[in-house]
Amino acid sequence: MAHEISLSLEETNKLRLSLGLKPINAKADDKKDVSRTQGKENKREPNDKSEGAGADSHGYERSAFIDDKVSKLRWNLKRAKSKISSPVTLVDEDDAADGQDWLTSVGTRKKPKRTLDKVYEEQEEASQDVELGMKISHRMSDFSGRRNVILTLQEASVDAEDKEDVLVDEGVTQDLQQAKRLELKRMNQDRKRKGVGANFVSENEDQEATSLRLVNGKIVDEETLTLQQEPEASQDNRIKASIEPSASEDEERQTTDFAPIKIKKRKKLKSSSLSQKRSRPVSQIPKVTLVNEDAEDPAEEELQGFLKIRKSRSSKADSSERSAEQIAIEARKEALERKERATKVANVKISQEMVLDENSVFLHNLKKDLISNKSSSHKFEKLNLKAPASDEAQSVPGSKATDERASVFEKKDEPQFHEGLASTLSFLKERNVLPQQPKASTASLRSKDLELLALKQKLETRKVKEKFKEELSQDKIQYSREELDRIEELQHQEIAKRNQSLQKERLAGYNPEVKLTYKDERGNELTTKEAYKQLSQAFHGTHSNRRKLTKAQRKVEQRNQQNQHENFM
Amino acid sequence: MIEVEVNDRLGKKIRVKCEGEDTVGDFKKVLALQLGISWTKIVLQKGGAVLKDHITLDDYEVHDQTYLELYYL
Repeated sequence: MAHEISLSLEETNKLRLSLGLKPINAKADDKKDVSRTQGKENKREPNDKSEGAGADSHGYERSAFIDDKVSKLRWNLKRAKSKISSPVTLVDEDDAADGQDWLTSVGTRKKPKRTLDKVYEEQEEASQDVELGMKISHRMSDFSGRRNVILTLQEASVDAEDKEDVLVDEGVTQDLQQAKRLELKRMNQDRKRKGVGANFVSENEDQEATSLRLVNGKIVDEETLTLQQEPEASQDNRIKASIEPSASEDEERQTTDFAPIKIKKRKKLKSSSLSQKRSRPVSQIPKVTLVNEDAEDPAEEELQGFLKIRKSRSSKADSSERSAEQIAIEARKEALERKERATKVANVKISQEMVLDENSVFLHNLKKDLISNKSSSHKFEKLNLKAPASDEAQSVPGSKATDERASVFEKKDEPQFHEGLASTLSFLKERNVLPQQPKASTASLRSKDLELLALKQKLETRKVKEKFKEELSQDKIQYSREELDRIEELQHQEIAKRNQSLQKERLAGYNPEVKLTYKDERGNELTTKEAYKQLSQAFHGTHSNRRKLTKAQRKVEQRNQQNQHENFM
Repeated sequence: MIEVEVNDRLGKKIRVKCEGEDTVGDFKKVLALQLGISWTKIVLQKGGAVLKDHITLDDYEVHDQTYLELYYL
């Protein structure tokens, strides 16, 4: 079971103070409560009066309840009960007396009037002089079955002053609408069965419109009214009207019948129209006049013509000026140059293994005063002098030729790089730029050394052999063949020992062609590709799957076997 | 002054006196003191809606005799 905790007001106030909250002021609250209840009582009093003896008759005592809420609830409950028990609460006392025999009065005109009476009494109070006549939009038969009918003013636009106020019973109108809908539904179903052509006459048309009016809280037939009070009609602020079906005309139109369905067809945009839109009218396209840019200006043309003439003239003049002798001289010159070149190339060949490479020595020798600095190289002048001498010896002596040669050599003092690589080389030689065939010298040195070493080795071997021979001869002992073999072996060992250092010296610069072979764990030779794969896999810590490994292995072994087979063959 | 009924449906039913203009946080503090627990460790609901601390009881339409559910975090 729930353990209920409830602190007193003082205790809670203590707590609140400790929390820094405002303490609850009980007295003020009590006062407020009192005032509240009093207010409620005050409010209720007129209500009670208006309700008459109904509530009092139930013996309701508010003072008995202390608690506000409960009392309120009880009050509400009582009220509801009283409503149920005596529904005619809003009716006057004299009417209430009549209300007792309500059963007898079912179907009479009085009943709807009864409920409305009060409302119109109020209205009468408001405007006593004006006699009100309100139209009711229902037939008497609509009201006959029920007791309490609430009529409300039909909605109308504010502007329409001419329109009469019409009273409508909401419930009835709703019922009517419902009925109409049902009817239409039925009609539709029939139509579906019988075809569209079937004619139907709506019952509404059959119904005769009877007009009722509310005058002085009584519902009166208009016809009778008009008969009885025709002279008064003008005085009364009454407006004639006929009963219409409760629903407005618009509504009726909507609900009534098959209106042909109108579907707006969507206009298809023609492609042609679209294209027309896009394409510009022809007139708008700017006309482009084609201009030939190659066409020459008159001035330029003139200039070009002039230039042409000049060119041709100059060429002509050149050709004409050259005499046959000159041509011959040129030809000779060329021939001479060729010869020179040939001799130089020969010289180069003679000097052996002249390699021109871009090493630092060569670059170091290139100086600024290379061209002018000729005096330093005396050796090469000699060389140059030699070459023509040899040429002279070889060639047939001729005064003219010698003269020309002299001129050529004079020319040679200037650097002539256009004559080809050979001339350039010779020039460089003259200036002592090229190193004095260092490679050749070193190579020769090396070869000499090697020869020396070989000789030394030979010497050593001979010495050893002689020594052995001497020993053998001195002892004069017959050696068996095995012993002789052993001695020979010893001899070889001795020779090897002695020659070891020499051999080392000999093989110091030994640089044979290196052939790399890769072998796997089993000693099978691998191709570079396979070896690389192994290496990289080892490096990355990966490996191919078992199937691939076996496949590769098989391949390698097959190849190995083939190789072996070939070797045997 | 209003008196609110708080029930944790685990065996505790507390009636707390407070003001309508108290915030839920204040209310929780008072309630927690009565219960002897931390006020941050409880959740109050009214009709299944969790009451937030910074909103007053009046705003939640908590009146006299209103029933609040109490949950422990």
